[in-house]
Amino acid sequence: MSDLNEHNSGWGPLSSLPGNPIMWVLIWSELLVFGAALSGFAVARMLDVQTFDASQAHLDRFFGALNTMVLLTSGLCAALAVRVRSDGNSSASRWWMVYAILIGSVFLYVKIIEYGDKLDAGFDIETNTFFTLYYLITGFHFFHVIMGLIILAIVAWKNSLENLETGAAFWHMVDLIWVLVYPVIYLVR
Amino acid sequence: MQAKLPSTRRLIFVWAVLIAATIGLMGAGRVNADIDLGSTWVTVLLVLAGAKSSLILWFYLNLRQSSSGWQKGFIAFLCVILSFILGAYYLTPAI
Repeated sequence: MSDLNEHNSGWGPLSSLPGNPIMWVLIWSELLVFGAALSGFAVARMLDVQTFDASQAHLDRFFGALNTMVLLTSGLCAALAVRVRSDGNSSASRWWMVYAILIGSVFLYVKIIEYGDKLDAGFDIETNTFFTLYYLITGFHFFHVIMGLIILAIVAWKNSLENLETGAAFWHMVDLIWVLVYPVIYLVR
Repeated sequence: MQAKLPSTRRLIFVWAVLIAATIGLMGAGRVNADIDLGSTWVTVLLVLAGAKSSLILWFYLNLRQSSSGWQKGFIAFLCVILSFILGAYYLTPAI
């Protein structure tokens, strides 16, 4: 995140952050929203631990871990796209972003399978508090993944360094949130 | 401020550490067993999640190039959220 910083001097304290300051405002706001949601989830579990643990047993923990690795790998590709673009290699940068999109799409595929399995088994958003929060939190994240893939596609097309840095930052934020969501919802018991 | 991007080698190394930490998380979280983890393993899980988040912030989002105030702010935020979740776990009555 290099060129942008020369233009960020009017952003006050935000100007010391690498990349586009607006993206950091978004990152902070998303962390606050998901932080509050996960805290709420933890408190709800505390109030009804039997329901939460029994419901959590129906989640596929392996799928969750697989999706973590998928997002981390896609995030690496996005980071490499920015890296090679800063070295002046526009074509390689575009290809790395395409890889990031393709690998990131696997997350959606796995999640759709997972949602399908749960719905087929009769667990929907109204089943109980656990599944309400599960669908709301992971569904909101799912929406961010879709938005992230669209943004990555746009910046792969219009691949200035500024665009790539901003798009990759959004994608890393999506990655970061899942790294927090996965253990709290799928594993803690 | 002229921010310096992490090298390709470093990005790949960080990715390898993140994948290894995810495998560690799977082990600590006993993904294939329906057993109560207990407080020690839940603490390990959340510490690993915090470490992974910090690596993403530090290298992928390149927070290492920002001021120490922002760095401390993000790390403190992660600590508060994960401590709250861990605190809720410790306060959960045993079944």
